[in-house]
Amino acid sequence: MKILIAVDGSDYTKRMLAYLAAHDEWFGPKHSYTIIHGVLAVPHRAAAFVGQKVVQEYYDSDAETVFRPIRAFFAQQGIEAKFVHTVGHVAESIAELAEEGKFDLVVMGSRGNSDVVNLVLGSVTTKVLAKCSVPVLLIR
Amino acid sequence: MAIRSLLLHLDATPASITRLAFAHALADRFGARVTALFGTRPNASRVAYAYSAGAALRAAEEGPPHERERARLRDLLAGREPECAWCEVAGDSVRHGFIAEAIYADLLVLGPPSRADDEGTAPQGFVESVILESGTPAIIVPHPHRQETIGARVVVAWNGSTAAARALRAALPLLRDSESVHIATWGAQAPVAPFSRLDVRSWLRRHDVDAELHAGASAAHVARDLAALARDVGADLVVMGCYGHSRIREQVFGGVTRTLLADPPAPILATH
Repeated sequence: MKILIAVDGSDYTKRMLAYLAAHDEWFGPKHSYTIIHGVLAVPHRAAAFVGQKVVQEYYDSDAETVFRPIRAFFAQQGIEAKFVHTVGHVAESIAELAEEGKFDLVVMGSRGNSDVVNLVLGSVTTKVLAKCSVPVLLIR
Repeated sequence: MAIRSLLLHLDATPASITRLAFAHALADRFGARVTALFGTRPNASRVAYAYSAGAALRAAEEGPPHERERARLRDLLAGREPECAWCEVAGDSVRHGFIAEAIYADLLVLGPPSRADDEGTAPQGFVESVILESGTPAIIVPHPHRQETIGARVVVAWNGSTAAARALRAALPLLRDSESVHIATWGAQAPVAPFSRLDVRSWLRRHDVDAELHAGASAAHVARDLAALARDVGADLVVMGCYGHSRIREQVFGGVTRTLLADPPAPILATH
């Protein structure tokens, strides 16, 4: 299977990876993995203050900060993975790549900190579910 | 009190960039001067491998830790008007150095509390100790930080305590230009002054600040309710007092502060 894993460097991501690693049907060399991280755009005034070049470096190093432990995790398991990051519109980017890359499955952790239904899933998760026709595995 | 002197903590993480811009936006607005203090935790892996020849060679090639990030931040600040002071403090003295420097600041700009396994951030417990020990109000800028405005829509956590009042007083310069101020209280009755019966809204009125009161019925989920209110009103600042004991560094903050800081809905202005 071609699996797209959405990460954000939070504890929810850690929990998701731990779950995957413990389940052979989702995790192993028979699948191919792409890891996507949607970097959130910096405020316009911040971008104007530091300049475009620094903002680009910021996005790259922010993504790398999130990817570093995940790279280590995959390397340790001896499984290859591709890493991509996008800027802004996190849910849209995940859904778009899932469709265009013809992925079979999207895996994501879910934030959510309330009993209220639409807060249980978190806004990114809710949007991905709404925009994506690829099956989504949510790990809470 | 006017905000004229800002102390900004910078480290080797990407979050420093948005924090830097945040501090400068504040400085512009209040005609304040910024002192930037760069300080990161000692790099554990470098220490661990320092005895192997290969690592020693590599360390020599790489230069001091986080040199690239340090140089980038310094370049960003060079030639700014008004001038921004650049200071550095190494290793274990980051905490003490920053707290000593904070005495000469009106407001601190800090990053989110760092975790045990973070790299390039301040030592673990830095943010907590600075707030508890310096006595200077601090704004904790979350990472990522997305809000375009600062203090346009403010949520105040109000329980009538000294710490909450100190935080609110520190926030007054920001509140004067706010579009809306939302005061969250919990319990059956909103706190009032014991004799004059003055309440927080009337107090703020005397400072020409109009505020809306949100009374939460139960104090069971204060942190969760606060975060939800902040998100609902699109808050770009949360004001709160915090409690804690600096003796137990790992668990210095009370539950509400800790929960809110784990996933902050907006920058948080906090005092002890």
